[in-house]
Amino acid sequence: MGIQSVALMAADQRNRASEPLHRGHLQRPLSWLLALVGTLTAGFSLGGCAELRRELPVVVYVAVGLHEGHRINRDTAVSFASHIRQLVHEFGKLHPNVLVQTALYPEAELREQIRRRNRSGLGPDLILTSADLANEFLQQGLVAAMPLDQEERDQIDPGLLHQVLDAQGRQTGQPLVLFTQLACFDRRRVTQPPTTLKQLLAQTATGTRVGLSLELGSLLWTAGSLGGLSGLSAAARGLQPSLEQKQGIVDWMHWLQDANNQQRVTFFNDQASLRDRLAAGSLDWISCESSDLNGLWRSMGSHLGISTLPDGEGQRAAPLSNLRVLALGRNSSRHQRAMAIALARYTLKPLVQRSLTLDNRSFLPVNRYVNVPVRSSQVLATMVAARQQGESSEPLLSWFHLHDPGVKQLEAVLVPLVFGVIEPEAATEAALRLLRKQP
Amino acid sequence: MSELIAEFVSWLGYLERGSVQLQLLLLAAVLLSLRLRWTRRWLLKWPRAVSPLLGSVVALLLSLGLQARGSPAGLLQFLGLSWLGWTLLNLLRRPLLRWLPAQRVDQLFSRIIRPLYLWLAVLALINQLDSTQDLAVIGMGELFGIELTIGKIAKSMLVIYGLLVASGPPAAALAWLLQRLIGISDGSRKALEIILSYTVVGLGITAVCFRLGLNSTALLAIAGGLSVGLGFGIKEVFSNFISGIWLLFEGSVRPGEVLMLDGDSCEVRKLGLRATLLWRDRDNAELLIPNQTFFTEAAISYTSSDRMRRSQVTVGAAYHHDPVIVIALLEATALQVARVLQEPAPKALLLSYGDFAINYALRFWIANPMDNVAICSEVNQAIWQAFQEQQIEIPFPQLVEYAMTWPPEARKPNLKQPAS
Repeated sequence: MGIQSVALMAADQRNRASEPLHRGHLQRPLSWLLALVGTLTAGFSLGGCAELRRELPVVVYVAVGLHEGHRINRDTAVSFASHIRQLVHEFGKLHPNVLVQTALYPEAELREQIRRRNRSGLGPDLILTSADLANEFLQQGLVAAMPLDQEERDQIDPGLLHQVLDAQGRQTGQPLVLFTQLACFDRRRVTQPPTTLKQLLAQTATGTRVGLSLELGSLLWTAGSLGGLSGLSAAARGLQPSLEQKQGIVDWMHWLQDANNQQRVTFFNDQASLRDRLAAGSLDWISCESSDLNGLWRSMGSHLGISTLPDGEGQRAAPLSNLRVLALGRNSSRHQRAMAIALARYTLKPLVQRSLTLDNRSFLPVNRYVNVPVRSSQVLATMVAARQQGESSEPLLSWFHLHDPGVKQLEAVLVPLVFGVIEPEAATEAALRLLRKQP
Repeated sequence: MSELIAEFVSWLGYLERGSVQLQLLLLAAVLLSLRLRWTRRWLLKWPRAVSPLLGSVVALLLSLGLQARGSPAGLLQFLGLSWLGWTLLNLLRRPLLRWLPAQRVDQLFSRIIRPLYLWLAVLALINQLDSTQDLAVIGMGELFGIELTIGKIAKSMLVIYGLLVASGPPAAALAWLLQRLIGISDGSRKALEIILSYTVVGLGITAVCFRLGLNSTALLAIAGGLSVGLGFGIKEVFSNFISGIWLLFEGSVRPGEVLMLDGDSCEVRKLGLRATLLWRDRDNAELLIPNQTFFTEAAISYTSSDRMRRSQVTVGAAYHHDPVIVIALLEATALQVARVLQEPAPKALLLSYGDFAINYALRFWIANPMDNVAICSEVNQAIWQAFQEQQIEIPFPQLVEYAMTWPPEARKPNLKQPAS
């Protein structure tokens, strides 16, 4: 599905095209308008009447950050609205007076948009974003801590829950779904997906066209396969990498440079280019995110194949998982806040999580009591395998935050390395210097 | 469309928030207080340039107060700043009048500055409430398989409006340049300017259609549909438009031309899409004449090949004056009037022998057809003076009035009364 955010809800893809789009789940706008104006007016004049207030429609504003590489377009909006409609339809049975209004933002702009809306008192009630950003937002006072009771905490995968805890023990957001990093390929061109990097390069020699992204987040898995991750992690913690760790980084850098020298391996500036080219048939194998799957299925149908990313010789690949969380806004009224929390809690319920996962098949649930049916779905099985593949490297990746300015600086080192302008040893030194400077 | 309405409706939910209510109430209080009589009297004490700014400045100060106590104040600040900007914009009009003619300034404000400001302010306000990028992809229907979204429609309309409004000055500049290079007349320059402007707008609309994703087949289909629509619904408008284009190419009706309309000479001021704007000197009236009037009806032009007009005044002289002397005097008199051209020379004619005078006509040429009435007046005055000096009588019929009785025979004294 073209967007992480859409993770929110599952969709019956076959019905999407034919369904009319109702943003924010407002089915009868004019009657709602009259109801809202009337009830709000009455509500203001009879502010003390709790009984009446309970009946008023409550609009819950949800701001959704779209991961870089996903554009806001008609398809994204239709798809997302369909998911929201499905979720709110079920939620509305419990809370019939709730309306959900969503606003999609590119994740790079999300911070500024929320800051501006908060300043006006028009901030969203819920923010669907990555765990990294939710942590940053709470630190900067843009969101409120999410109140989770022990029962809810127990339901969430501890590793994921830990990702949204700040130093003071506050919950920066509530995990919603988990996207994983995978390999996507065209079944017509790649009959057997490579399981190691060696096989990957070997397949390029037989005609497979491989695409890799120069974005660090999309490329870091190769550092795991080539043994460079522990050195990078040590440097990011301010430690001096051992000689062996340093050699791992140099090997990684060498591999990147060598890969670019292969005739059929191409590096692209961003993940979106890889996805578009695979869909257009000009690439055969790419690293992808599970959030790309729905879009690719729409374009490629049954020709789309997915697998885990290739490991190295003795080392496992380090795919990055993208945890999407719900954070609480700061401007909500009492009722909006209560409804936002109720909605967030609702999404955590095992039945809802399972339903979302099965309908969507592009992310994994965060509720550890949900059994993912790996036997009946090859896609879900691959995502579970990718999650397990990355679990061992998760501690080593904790330094990596997609929105850190340092990431752009590291990418600026990788570009000349890949194109042979600087040597792997020099690039290694430059990368270590940059990582050690990180706060 | 229902999506869009749903989106607007959902914004009402913000009114539930106390901080939003407070900001709006403060703004309303400022607006209401400005309507109070004593406030208006108090405002009169301030300099005229400052008093319009006070409301917005108070709103901004209130927003700063809210901010200082930690409450959200961005909405009030935004509305206050937008108000201030609007007021400053209106204040900007006065200094601009020193540099540009009033009509230009009005056009600039009503067509570009104010619409642009409003557009940006509304976009900024929506950006406070929602995601404009997200709103832009709301679907508004399909056209030839192309999904039209609000963003696409808004951008297209903006481009077309921009072309309509802004294509004038570059077209005028290009026409001026071509006039310098080729040496065409002013009328031709103006015609060229309009044709260039239409061309730019036409190309722009076509480009917008292609940008929307319509291919040439779709455009042809639209053209086909339009032709049916034009045939029934707006054929008059289209007929006027085509007539206007034709007249421009033909060059018969161009800005600067002088035409006769209902016996009055009028100057063409502007050839518009639907109608031609004429100026009538007699009463300074501006007449909007549908273009097809010139296309289907006969029109008299004084400026088609040159701008000269042969004018004429008539006068009567008494029978006892020698016509040769009168004719010579008339021709000499016309030559003395400043705005009568020496060449072609004025010509006087004996027109007819009237009941009480011999009728003469004096024909002369003038350079500007629009000055005809004024020059005729000058010539008539000069004739009167010349006749006075030469003791030439201008006879006029005399009316003798006497009382009548009925029957008239009863008044005749020499008639014998019949015997009773």
